[in-house]
Amino acid sequence: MKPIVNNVRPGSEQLSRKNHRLAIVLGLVAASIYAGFILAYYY
Amino acid sequence: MSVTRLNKTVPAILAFLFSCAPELVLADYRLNMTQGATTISKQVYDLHMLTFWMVSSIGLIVFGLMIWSIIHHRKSRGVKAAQFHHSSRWEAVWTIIPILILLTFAAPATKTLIMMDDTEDTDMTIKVTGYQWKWHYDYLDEGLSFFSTLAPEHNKARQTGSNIDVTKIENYLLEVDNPLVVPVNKKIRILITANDVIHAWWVPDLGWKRDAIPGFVNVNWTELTEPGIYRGQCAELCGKDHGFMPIVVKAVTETEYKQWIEQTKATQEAAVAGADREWALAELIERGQAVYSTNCAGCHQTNGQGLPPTFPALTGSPVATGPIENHIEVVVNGRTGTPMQAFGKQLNTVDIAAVVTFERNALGNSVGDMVQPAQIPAAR
Amino acid sequence: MSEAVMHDIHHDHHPEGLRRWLFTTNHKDIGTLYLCFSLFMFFVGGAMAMVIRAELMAPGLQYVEPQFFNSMTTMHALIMVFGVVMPGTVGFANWLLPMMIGAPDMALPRMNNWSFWILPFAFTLLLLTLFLPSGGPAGGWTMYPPLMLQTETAFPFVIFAVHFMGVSSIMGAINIIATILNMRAPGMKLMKMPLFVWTWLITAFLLVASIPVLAGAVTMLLTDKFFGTSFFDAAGGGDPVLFQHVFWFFGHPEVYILILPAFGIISQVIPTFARKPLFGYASMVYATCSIAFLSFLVWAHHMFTVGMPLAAELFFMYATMSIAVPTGVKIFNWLATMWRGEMTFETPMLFAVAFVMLFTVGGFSGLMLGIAPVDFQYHDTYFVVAHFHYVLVTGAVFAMMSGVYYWLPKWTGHMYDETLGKLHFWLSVVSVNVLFFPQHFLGLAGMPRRIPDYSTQFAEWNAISSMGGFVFGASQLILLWVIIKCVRGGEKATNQVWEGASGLEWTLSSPPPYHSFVTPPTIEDVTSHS
Repeated sequence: MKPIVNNVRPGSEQLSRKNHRLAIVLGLVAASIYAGFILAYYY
Repeated sequence: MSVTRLNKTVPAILAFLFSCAPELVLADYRLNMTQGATTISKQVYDLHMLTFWMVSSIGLIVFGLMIWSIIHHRKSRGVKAAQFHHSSRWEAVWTIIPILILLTFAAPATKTLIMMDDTEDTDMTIKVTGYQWKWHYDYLDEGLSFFSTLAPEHNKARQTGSNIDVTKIENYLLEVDNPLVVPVNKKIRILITANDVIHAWWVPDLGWKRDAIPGFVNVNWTELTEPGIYRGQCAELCGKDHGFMPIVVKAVTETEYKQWIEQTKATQEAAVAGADREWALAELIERGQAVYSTNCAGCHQTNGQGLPPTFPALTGSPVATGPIENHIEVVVNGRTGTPMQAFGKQLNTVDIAAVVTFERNALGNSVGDMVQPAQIPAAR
Repeated sequence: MSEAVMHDIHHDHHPEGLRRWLFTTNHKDIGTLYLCFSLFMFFVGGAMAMVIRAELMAPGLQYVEPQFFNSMTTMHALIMVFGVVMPGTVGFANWLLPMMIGAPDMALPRMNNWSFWILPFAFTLLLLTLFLPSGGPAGGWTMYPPLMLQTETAFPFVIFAVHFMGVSSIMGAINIIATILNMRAPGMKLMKMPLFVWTWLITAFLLVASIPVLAGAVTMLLTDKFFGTSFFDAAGGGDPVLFQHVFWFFGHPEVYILILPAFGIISQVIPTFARKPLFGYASMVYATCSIAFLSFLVWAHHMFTVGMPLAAELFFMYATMSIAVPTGVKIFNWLATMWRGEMTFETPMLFAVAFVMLFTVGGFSGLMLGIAPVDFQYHDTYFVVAHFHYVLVTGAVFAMMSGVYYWLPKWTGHMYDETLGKLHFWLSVVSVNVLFFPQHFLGLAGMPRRIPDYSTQFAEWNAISSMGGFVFGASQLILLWVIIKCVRGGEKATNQVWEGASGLEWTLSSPPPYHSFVTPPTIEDVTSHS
């Protein structure tokens, strides 16, 4: 996704990609904790 | 505030407080935990006081230093700020000293915990079951069991807007119809469980509380040495009337206990004695009224108006004015998924017949029919 | 810089009115939204507390039915925890993190907008339940089954409200982690970050790890209620205590989610007004990390009375006691920061000093509660109520008030009214103690919590506590007035605002420009500690 005006500085696009990668990783961590807990008790 | 003004203000406040003292003494301003009536409760009290004095002295030192600093290290006194910001030595001091202090609590706490956990070699066993909102006591060795609910007078006074002066009622909300009677000097095993939701059985004088969990049994023990009455309450939120299911333990001597067992058994037999005889309508309604106010009025209210939608009104309700078989069925087996309990397990046949007849012919209903105790077992 | 981006800048205009706030991706605007939301919910939750204290003013039921009373205690807790303290500290994070680390904005501005705007919907869902015929949730904020499963129409509302709050918090936390890890100005090394940034970094990791656990627990409740599973139903082979384990596995880290940002605020305020660098910066960071780590190992001290094996009780007792050590290190470090400083006592510092003292009181009662055999007496009594209100009201909330007074001139560009601020502080600090200190006595004397009516032996302390409660509640209107007055005008604030303040946010103008640090600042001289 294109960096929006708030974050405009030299190198913003690379930084934006880096931010999104980290966010996706953390989101997956959260989602797997959620699913993991439920599945662990379900079985 | 300057120091001189402080010197005048503090004595003035103290003088005011002392002048109020006579009234303060009259009222009940209890501050501390009870020492209780058992070995466990005394040990717990000692542990409580040990930690209390320990944290109070730490607090005195920390707050003392802080107040000293606040008074002396302020800009208005013309001090210049020091610039130190690190000291490994001091960091070590306030890491290690707290660890040592904690060890002084940990040792006696571990000892007490192990003692409380020892439920071997008991003389008798009582099973406590939490219901919404009453307790059931089962003397497993005697084959005797009964429910214990908030005493009727208290139940009446505690209704919202009852306009009864509760300060005139002795032991307000801490009185039951049937107390748990136990003998002194016996190690009693207490099994705790629940029928519907989680409750907690707590008598402060025994020194512990324990959760009553449906489907699980918690094992505890107690041994009272002094005859007397010990009061407590449910301590785990269990719904609407969580605040109204007190516990009263009455400790008596061994002989009195034996007598009480015999007497209670006789009374219980007398209560079910009429099960096979023919009852008159007025007789059933009279008995039904008493059963209703102990078991039903908490939710359906004394006047039968209920607290809709959770607790429906009985006045003019389809159940209380419809077919009597259906009415008996609801009272006996309850309604799953609602707070309506299965009273077939809690009341004897006479009481069920009486309360059903009462509900159909009072509370603004006048169906006119009735059910005999002898007809109830068929429905169960 | 690519042409596309230049193009965006060219068209940069701030929408006015409602659209500005609805579509904003600016960290300052979103911070303001979070803080205003938190303040609003503070009064909503406070009003419920007033209902509770009014009913408890005297024995006997005067005003409300027990069921409504229970829903008041339940909603009060849910609102204060999820609607006041959590959004409030996220508001601070939004406003301050980019300014403190020299970033232009948060790392993920679009998600930032979303994570705020979920909250009003979540709380509308929750508050709507009060207007349902069967009333709001009344099973306690801990939502223990099977009682919680008796909740009627309100049940799905509460579950989905909690889910929404959780989603909002996780997104906020991810944004904060990304901002702190990726957006620091050159030279802003991790161990140079202001302590507030550190505490929020750790808090954000706690959020990502623990909120999904809560979400899992309430999802299991939902399927138990509507889809025939029996995770928590003993009759179906489940275990009601399992919920408590899962809930508190979330719940204890949650406690530190509430308090760690408060520690961060206090660690900024005290050095400023002592005109002296923070003592033991590195040990503060390590203490925060170890508190966060230990918080995952102590959950069962909330449930000592459920009947665990002896070994488990002992383990959780020792682990709980050990948390006192890093917490003590923090208290002593703040004390050492004050020691031989050159202190002045403006309102932020007053709240900070009150925080250190009264949080310590809450810490002491916490240590007492951690001793398992004695907890069998304390558990579920007003002693516990007193304990967690000392750590949350005079802890987290006082720290937030300290922070509001501290940064308000920076945010608005105007100095707040110091006289009113001091009045607010003194009224609050006296009344809050009248409110909560007697509750220790009530608990020790045997009064269980969450009861609408009580035995007459508890009447005196309850009356005193209620009186303190009403004064404390009314005093907060002064805070509202101070904020409104400060936003509308007042003496012009300088860039540095406070004589002793250091850190990047104080190098910006007051109020700061809409986009802070368009060019990265240099870090050499400006650090919050030396």
